[in-house]
Amino acid sequence: MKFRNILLSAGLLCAALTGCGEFKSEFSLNEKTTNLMPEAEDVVKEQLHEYFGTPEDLVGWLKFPIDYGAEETVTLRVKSFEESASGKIVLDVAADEQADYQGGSIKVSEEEIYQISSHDPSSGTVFVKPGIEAKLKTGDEVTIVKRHGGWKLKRGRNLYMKHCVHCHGVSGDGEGPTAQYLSPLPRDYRKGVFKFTSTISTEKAARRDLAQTLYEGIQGTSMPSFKLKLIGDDMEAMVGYVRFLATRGEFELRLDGEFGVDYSKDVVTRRIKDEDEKITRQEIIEEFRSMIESDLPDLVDSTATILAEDWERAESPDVMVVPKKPRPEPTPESIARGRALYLSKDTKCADCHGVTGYGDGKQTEEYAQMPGTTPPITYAKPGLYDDWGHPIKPRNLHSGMYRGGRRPIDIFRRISAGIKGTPMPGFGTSLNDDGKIWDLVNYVMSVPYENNSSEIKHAEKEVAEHTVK
Amino acid sequence: MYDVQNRLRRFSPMSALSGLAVAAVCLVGGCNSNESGDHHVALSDFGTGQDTGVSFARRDAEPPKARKVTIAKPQPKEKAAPKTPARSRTTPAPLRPVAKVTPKPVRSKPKQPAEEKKVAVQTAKPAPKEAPPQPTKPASDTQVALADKPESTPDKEKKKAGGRPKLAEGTGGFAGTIKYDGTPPAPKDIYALGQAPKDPAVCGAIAIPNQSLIVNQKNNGVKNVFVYLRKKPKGYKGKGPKDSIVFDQKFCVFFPRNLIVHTNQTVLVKNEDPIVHNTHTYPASNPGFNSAIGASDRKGVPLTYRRAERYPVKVVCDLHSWMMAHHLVLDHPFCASTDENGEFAIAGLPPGKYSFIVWQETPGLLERKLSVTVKAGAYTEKALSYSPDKFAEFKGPRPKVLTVSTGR
Ligand code: HEC
Ligand code: HEC
Repeated sequence: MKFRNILLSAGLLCAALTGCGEFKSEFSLNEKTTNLMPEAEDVVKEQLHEYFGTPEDLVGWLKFPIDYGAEETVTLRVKSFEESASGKIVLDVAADEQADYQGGSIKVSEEEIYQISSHDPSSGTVFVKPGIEAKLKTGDEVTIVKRHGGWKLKRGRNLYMKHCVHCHGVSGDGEGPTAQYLSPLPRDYRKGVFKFTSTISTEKAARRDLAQTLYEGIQGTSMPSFKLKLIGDDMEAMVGYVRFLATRGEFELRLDGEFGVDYSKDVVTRRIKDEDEKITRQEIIEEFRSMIESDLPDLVDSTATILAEDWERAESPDVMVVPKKPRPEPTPESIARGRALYLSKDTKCADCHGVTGYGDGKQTEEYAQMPGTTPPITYAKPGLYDDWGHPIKPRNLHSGMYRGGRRPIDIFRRISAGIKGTPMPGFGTSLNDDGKIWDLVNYVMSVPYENNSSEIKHAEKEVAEHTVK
Repeated sequence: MYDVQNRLRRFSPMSALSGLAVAAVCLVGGCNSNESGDHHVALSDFGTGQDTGVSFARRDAEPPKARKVTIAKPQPKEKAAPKTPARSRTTPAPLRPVAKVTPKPVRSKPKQPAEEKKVAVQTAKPAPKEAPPQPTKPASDTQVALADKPESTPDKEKKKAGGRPKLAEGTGGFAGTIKYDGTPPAPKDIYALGQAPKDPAVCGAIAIPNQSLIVNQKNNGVKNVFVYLRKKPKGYKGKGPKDSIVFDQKFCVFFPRNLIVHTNQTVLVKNEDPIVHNTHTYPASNPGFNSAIGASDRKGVPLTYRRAERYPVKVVCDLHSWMMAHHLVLDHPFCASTDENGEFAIAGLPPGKYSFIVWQETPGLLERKLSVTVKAGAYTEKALSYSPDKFAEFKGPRPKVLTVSTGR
């Protein structure tokens, strides 16, 4: 600890003296990757590097439905070109309405590409560095690359590094430096699971869902709204980058899952000890190598295909939760029906959210099992947990704060599709009448106002008497 | 201006302060990047217009026109741009060659189930001996619910007297028993009659049996062990069955405990209890499913898996934490779950060498690679038996789950 602080102070000094030095940001590895035997860990690292790159040198894998930003070019004619000042070209920009070439480059031929260092949109004058060697004539055609392929991903990265990284971490693992002070913790994207979506319970988040989260923020948590910061292209770029990180993380997790079964450190140790298997470490390594040689390309391809399919499907209108009926007025009757459903054996909302809706149902006192453990491991403390292993509470419905959005349709979607990555199931399957879900929505939305509404109280009492018999 | 540090668990308030101080210095210095911690530092160089690259993965076949991804020559570095990382811009990073791999079609159509030779995968299952004691309450119902479902007729017809499926011309099979090599543990209940902690009116109608390891008291056979091929044999082209199968729950017990599912086959999740259950699956290669199954829902909620799974998928109900089952999802029929005598039989295998996985829910893997040679016209027999510590010992994957207390 001390040593670290000395280092930090040294960094401080260095920063003070020399301005900021060269620092590199890195995608950190998932714990599951570092739990693999070193040979397998290396393979995962190589694959990640090859297909996703580093934060500074990103790689876009076109297989995924991510908008990386296609190259944008425009072809213009040369108006004048002075050989003596070959860095200066005047172009006929009349053909291009948005003649903004800052950061672009000029392509004289496939091989000769020059970076535009500055330009004057009004006159069409463009300066390049170093000077152009080719002899351009008036009337020659040149191609201006206004945006390089992948510009959107790059922009998303830049914005992410500015606005999100301190909470969500460089690799989207939810472990940025601020995270430790936050409750709930920032989302770890690497499972590819997002909680608040408009898709049915088995599907991933659609772009619009991520955009909505960014637009509205997550009420009642530290996740801020970026409504004013991310506008137009920037919003799309940001959503693209979140998807990029989620895809990268899930790709890593899936490779880990694939290798971890036979080649995690623990399993290897156990296999060596196992008298029946009679295998040495060297043999395990050889077995792994030959498996890699024969299976890796297929494995990588099919893993990516799975991810590409899943993300693609999330955009389909078929998997969007759309109520078949319009919302009925929140009349006392509808609220009372909702309340009855809330308490009923058909939903058991009260098991988690409590009879009075304070989020203190019976389920919060039971011991839950960790997902995917064989034999099941039970969490040390009672209560509910999400798929990330974080303790969560069923929402206190009196707070009137809805993380996934407070429009009635948002709450409809939460109830119909459930909250992904949490124990709250989708009820669209059991309440196959959308009218019932709307009654629940009306009830849920009335809870925060319960105490001042005698009418509702009356209705509630009636229902309570009705159900408790 | 952010202090970026990934290793937050080793982060101390002291270093947080120094981090902030660094940030402050950076602010004063007007520089754009900042320092912190030991491992990972984000370069706030981003966003200053200094380009760092994006390239494209080699595997991508010719990108669609709209996404032209020719990468412009790197911009020559200017003297004031020292922070660009190594892999960028002084020498042109060669355009990653575009490989000639055509991407596989993204969407795999659900297989059209032309009625194919049906291979019965499960041996005959008489009513389990370790079935929970008869309930006192709705007596007749229980019997029905917990007795195994009648076999579908085509399976029955193909059964030989011995209970094993007949082998089709030119194919062989793999059959055997799985035994517990020791004194069989006595059947246990998780909750005695009427003692279920939730919804006792429904769940307490029977004693909830502990099904994590079911050993036959007479012949030591182990029930509910999956024996299967991880991948379909090369050249196997069979299609999945057309019929949907039922996954049910009654008295707060899933039924069956072990279900074999073919990819794209519809599983109808039903509920015979007069209360809601939620069926929550934890697959590795498929999207998870977490849906409420309404009280007394006899129509069923459809659940399908598009892709084969390497290991059985755990299925739970969050509302009744003791409820558990496993779905084995495969894209071929060469699998079985042992019956109450520990017997299994897998038919229809083309002759050749195979390696099978043997999996039981308590220890996970019993066999990682069980080699079996199959000859045409006969079942290759294997009598497998495992010592008690094999059944207790854990051999499969156990994910590490980090529990972070969020304070409140
Ligand atoms: C102050 C910390 C903070 C910052 C800054 C922040 N987030 Fe979050 N973010 C959170 C927290 C906390 C959550 C989890 C809330 C929850 O679990 O209900 C979250 C959740 C999310 C989710 C998941 C939503 C879902 O449906 O599961 C996404 C996506 C997200 N953030 C994206 C971003 C992006 C993109 C940025 C930058 C533009 C950003 N966040 C900036 C704290 C932050
Ligand atoms: C198995 C427990 C469980 C059941 C049953 C359950 N919930 Fe929830 N519910 C939760 C948990 C946990 C959360 C908080 C999830 C999170 O944000 O991490 C939640 C959140 C909510 C929210 C807040 C959504 C938001 O946008 O913030 C609403 C509203 C809600 N539940 C309504 C219901 C209703 C109505 C029912 C019954 C039809 C129900 N729940 C059944 C566990 C449950």
